[in-house]
Amino acid sequence: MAADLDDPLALALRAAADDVAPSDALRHAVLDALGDRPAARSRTRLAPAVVAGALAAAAGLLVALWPRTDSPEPRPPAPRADAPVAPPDADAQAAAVARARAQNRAIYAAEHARWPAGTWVSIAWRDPATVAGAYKPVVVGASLEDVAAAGADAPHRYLFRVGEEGDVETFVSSWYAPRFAGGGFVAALGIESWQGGDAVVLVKGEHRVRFAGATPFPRVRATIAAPDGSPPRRTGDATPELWFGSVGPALMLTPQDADELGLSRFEVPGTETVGTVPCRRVRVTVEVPGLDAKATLVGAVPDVPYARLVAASRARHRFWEWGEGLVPTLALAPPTLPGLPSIETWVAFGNDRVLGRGASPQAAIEDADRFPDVVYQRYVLRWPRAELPVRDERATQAVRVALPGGVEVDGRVRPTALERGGAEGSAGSGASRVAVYVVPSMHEAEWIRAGLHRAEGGDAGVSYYTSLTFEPGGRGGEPPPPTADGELRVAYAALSVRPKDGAGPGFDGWGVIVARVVP
Amino acid sequence: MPIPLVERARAGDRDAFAALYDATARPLLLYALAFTPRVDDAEDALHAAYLAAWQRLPTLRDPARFLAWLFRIVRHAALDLVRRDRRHAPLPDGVAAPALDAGPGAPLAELLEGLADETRALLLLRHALAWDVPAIARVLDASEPTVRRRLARAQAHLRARHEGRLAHGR
Repeated sequence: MAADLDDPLALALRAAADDVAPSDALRHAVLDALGDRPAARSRTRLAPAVVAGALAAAAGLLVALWPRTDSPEPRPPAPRADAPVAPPDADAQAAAVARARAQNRAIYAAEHARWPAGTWVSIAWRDPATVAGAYKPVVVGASLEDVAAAGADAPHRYLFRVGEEGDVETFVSSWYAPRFAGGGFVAALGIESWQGGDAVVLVKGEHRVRFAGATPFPRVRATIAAPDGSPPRRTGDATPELWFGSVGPALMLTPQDADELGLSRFEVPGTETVGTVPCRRVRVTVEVPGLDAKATLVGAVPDVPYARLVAASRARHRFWEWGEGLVPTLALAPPTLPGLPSIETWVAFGNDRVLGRGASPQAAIEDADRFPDVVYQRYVLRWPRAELPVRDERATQAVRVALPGGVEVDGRVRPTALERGGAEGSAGSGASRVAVYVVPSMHEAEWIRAGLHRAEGGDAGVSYYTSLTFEPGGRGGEPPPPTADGELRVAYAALSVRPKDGAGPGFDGWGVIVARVVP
Repeated sequence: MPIPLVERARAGDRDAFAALYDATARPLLLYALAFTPRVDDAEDALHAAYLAAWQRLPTLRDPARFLAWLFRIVRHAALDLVRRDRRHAPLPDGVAAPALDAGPGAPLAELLEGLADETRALLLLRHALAWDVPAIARVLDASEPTVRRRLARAQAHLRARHEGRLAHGR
């Protein structure tokens, strides 16, 4: 029977079907409308008559054939936790905080020897030009209450008990997640924990809470707040997720957390070096829902450029290098239904899990964008991973590529790509139906500002494109290792492309960026 | 793994339903094209079908029959759409359909032009998806010998149509 698949007509049918795939709009229209009566799909693509027909058909099916059943309310659109949260004057605020911190550090260095152990201290320098009258930058007391009000509205404040400040070093084996809780977390909360597989149980007295299933590695949820209970500047997830383990700081937070909670007013002098990442030490209040457990502890906030956190996460997210026992737990491919062949798909991966999935890189990225929490870096890969075809890229055209974030770079692309509206054609077994833009040099900051770190292709893409594009006439082979001149990276991006010589058509849409990224 | 997924979706788990969608959307889209040759219309049929399936899932007694059940819903949805729009009235074998606008489904529609719906469905499942006979039998709720027999007939129809068109210079 299988011979019939090689029949020319059968092959023609299969080739004609190659370009037929459900649209991303359909996926959103279906999944966003669950729980309600069928809703209208994108009206930009469908003629009114077609929409009306579809709605009528859907309503007819539901009303005439089947009674309505109760179902949960549809999910509201998730907020993007790592969308920019800073106010417009963020740079000025950051500068004011940095200046005040430097002053407070100098005050601490000059005076700390005078304070007895156990004493509570507030150090809050202010720019004299902003203060009416006199003020005391240093307030010392026997209890936290004695000093808590001093400098509470200063741009930066050290607030600590003498003896807890200073530099510390903390071991971690990787950057586990944007937020992670180490052994000090349970100690501060006075709770016990049990772990098994992907589950963790937290216990305090009669209360017990179990967390499981989010990723192969245990995670818990807790509220995090400024110690004075002041509300955050932005409403995010009330109980964000924390990787949970026995190593690392009591609590690792994100720079966004510190900004939103105003934690620069609750710093402890000193640096906590977590692995090789220097972090500021901050007082923060945590509470585990369901347990009678609330405490203020000294956590850590990374004090490094954002690119460093992206790099740490890039290493962590290389899930294809994880142990053989872990990869099958990641639900990378859609389920194979009984008797049917498996379906190839694209996945967006980060924070130890599949964040999004789709029939194309764009669809997977859009799906992953619904994930409501901070993700420093994501890979976007075809799964199952496969060797991608090698192509001859000797003839290329110089183009100017505009990326998100106002980033513009020079690149090269196949001359036919722009004529085809940014498509590479159907050859290549779906490796990419969008064109490849080779960018000889791009700065790390540009890479991140354009958001390319949130859609990186991983090694498969690099080994595919490298020799084609950076070695004229090359036809495959291993990618060169990273050097001081940078490393090769691949990412998927929304872009706008114009020929450099001004001749021929431009293109707005999606493409693959292959760039040498320099630090 | 798949049956627990169906059970989870039946219990109201939207993520499980999303996984089922991802696993079935493309085969079902191609299947719907057997009844309505425009991809837009086929997507509309799928839209209606998936929402109906989500509403109706609690009544599915045997999760192992989920696929056949879903294919049946898509077929009903596509035919319902066709009934409401007589542009796409089912054609008997040998009757040429009007020309279609260019689009991703146009080459497919042209190849299958003039064939009956059920013939197109079998050819799409077998050749566009390269499914084997047991898989086709499972989703169409038919016996394997029946599918094998109908498939042979469908392939003969396709060949005859093609040779006929060649003879007429089309």
